[in-house]
Amino acid sequence: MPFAGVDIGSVSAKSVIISDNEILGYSILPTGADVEDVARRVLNESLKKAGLTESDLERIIATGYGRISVPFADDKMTEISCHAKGASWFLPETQTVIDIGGQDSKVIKLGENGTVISFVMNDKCAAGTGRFLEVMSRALELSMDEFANLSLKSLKPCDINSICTVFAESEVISLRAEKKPVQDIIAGIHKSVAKRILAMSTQIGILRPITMTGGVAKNLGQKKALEDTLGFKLLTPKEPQIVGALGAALFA
Amino acid sequence: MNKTYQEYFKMLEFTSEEIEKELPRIEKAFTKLGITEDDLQICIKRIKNSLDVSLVGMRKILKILFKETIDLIMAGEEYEKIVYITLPGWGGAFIAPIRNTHPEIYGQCIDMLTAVALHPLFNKQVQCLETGEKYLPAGNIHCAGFRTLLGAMDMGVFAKPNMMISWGIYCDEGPKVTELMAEKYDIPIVFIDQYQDFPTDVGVPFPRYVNFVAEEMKKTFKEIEKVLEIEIPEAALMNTMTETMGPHRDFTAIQQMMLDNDPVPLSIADLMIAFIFNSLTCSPDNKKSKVDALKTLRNEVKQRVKKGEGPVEKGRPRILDTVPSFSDPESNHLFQECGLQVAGTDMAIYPPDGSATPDLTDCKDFHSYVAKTVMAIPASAGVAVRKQVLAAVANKYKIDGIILDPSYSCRVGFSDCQIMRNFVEKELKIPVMIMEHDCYDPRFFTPGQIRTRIETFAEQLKVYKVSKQIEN
Ligand SMILES: Nc1ncnc2c1ncn2[C@@H]1O[C@H](COP(=O)(O)OP(=O)(O)O)[C@@H](O)[C@H]1O
Ligand code: SF4
Repeated sequence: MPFAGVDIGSVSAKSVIISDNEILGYSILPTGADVEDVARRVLNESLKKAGLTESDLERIIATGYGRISVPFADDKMTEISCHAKGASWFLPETQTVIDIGGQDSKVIKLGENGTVISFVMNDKCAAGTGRFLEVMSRALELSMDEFANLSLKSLKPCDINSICTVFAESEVISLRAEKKPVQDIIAGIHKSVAKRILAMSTQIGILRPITMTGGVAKNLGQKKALEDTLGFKLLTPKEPQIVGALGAALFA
Repeated sequence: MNKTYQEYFKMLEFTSEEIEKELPRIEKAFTKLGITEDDLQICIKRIKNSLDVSLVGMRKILKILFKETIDLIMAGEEYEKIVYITLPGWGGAFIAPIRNTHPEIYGQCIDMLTAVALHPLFNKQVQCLETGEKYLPAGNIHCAGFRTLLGAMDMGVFAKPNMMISWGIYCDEGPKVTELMAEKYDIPIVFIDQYQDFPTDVGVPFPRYVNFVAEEMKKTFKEIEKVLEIEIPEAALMNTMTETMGPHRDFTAIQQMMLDNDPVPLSIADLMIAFIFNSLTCSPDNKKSKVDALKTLRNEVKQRVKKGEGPVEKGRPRILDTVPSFSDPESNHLFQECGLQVAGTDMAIYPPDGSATPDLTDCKDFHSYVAKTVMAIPASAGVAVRKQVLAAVANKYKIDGIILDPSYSCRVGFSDCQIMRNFVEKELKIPVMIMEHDCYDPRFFTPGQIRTRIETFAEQLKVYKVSKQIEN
């Protein structure tokens, strides 16, 4: 039986189609302003990849920030429960999930079968999120890919002291004016996000193995900074950005 | 009067005669606060969406809160002298004997009234907060409850009092901010001193501590008499004590019915309004109405229990929320929107067994009654006692999960919240969530973010309940 999970995030919309415990197709699109429209488009695109139509679907579950704006969904679940479920499908040994998305980051401790035992979520501030990294990459006039990869070349990350996105941006501009190597500035930015995640993790006491999910898991510089800060390696699924949508499809 | 104003006053159950009589004062107060039609429209929506105005008791409470806030704003023009008492505590009861014996004097537990009324009824708390923040001297953060007060004073909404009373029963914010205000506006303050070496592992209220604070309160009354040049007869104190006990009993009965029943018969959004309302003093005009409002609400809640009714259906997860919002009913309402029943708050339950009624049997006078009531709540106690209360409540009232709700700007709330989380998770073995918010600052209510947290917690509790049923 085919099921769909639709994850409407603040930055990107994701949809995954599964059947008999297998991923048949998925799609990722920028969220944009019209949530309902993107939800429909991302679902259709993933259905096309799976070679199915909407009438083939048994159930659709919506998740993510825009979950309440998906009129065709049969039900909704929060992205926290969905990332937990999806991560444990990809990597069943997972005990903790670190999900860094566009506007929030979460640390989730898992129980059996990917259930949530406890979680922490960043507050409404953008610090420690994908949005923070986007603002920083714009301040440095780099694409997200360039930004993510340059960081890996740094040997001496700068210190970014401000947690606040606005202040951190002005710190980055000052560091540029001081002619600090750009890879060190980026590595410093990644380190500051990592420190924020570490602070969140200590609140619930994380267990290993840890799986990193969300779009920011594709940022290898950020992943490395997190591994350096936490002191151990992180697992990442093949496509970390669809983990929430996959979890939703599994709940369906 | 246009349609919005009519709808607003109708919601608060003003009769046309009352409006006609009160309108000039209300208009003056609205001008001082800068109330616009938009504000009233927002308030109508806010109240109707988040408070249960189908309950007569709730409508009565809202009407009195409205009238009391207008009195507060107009106090500078209408009273000869003004005295404010600040948080934390049972300030309304403390100040009531002054108002009861001297109708020419206005008195109020000012930050409690502003906390509960400015946002839901006037949509002006954020403006006061922002003004207060501009005014704060460098290096002073202070809790949002006090930032609101500072802002309202700075905006000229509240009159400069003739004196202020301040006590730091479990928090030093009140005394610190009162001192700041006293300096800026040149106001005499009296401090009710607290016991210095309070043991954190004994039950509250700790008798020696109660006696000490009661004695301090007696001294404070002497000082009040001197500064305001009045006399407060002993009999007035005893009368106030009897008078306050009635509504307090009604409030505690409501909290107890929430703890005892499934479905929980009242929403936490409504309980919080009733909780703060109960701690306020009222003008002579509103005194009888206050008694009636809480009694009516109690009876309505009792009826709901009889009929097995509540805002959320029976069997849904029952949680305890340590410090729900004082100012923002919309954030409190989210719990029921996510299918959670909030059975109570540890602001209104008492050690050692977590019942909603404090043991006041040995209070021989007004001072020890007020001191004991303030100091009996878990917030006044150390971590050991607070753990004991949470454990008792969780077991006795079949609580499925606990939300620890430390206020951002509250040092008391934040200091031990991680310890409490570990305790609930490891010792009580029930789901627990820390929900950062601010009980006085509605700006911390980002609907999407908070909803995601609460919904996830609800999903977690659903799984927990099922696994518990399988285990049993
Ligand atoms: N290829 C990539 N390289 C680096 N970062 C990426 C990449 N793709 C996405 N991101 C990051 O992921 C974030 C979006 O993550 P996502 O999980 O889709 O968020 P949301 O669910 O909130 O929309 C972006 O803000 C960006 O920082
Ligand atoms: S909220 Fe916290 S900081 Fe503010 S007065 Fe109450 S106890 Fe003190």
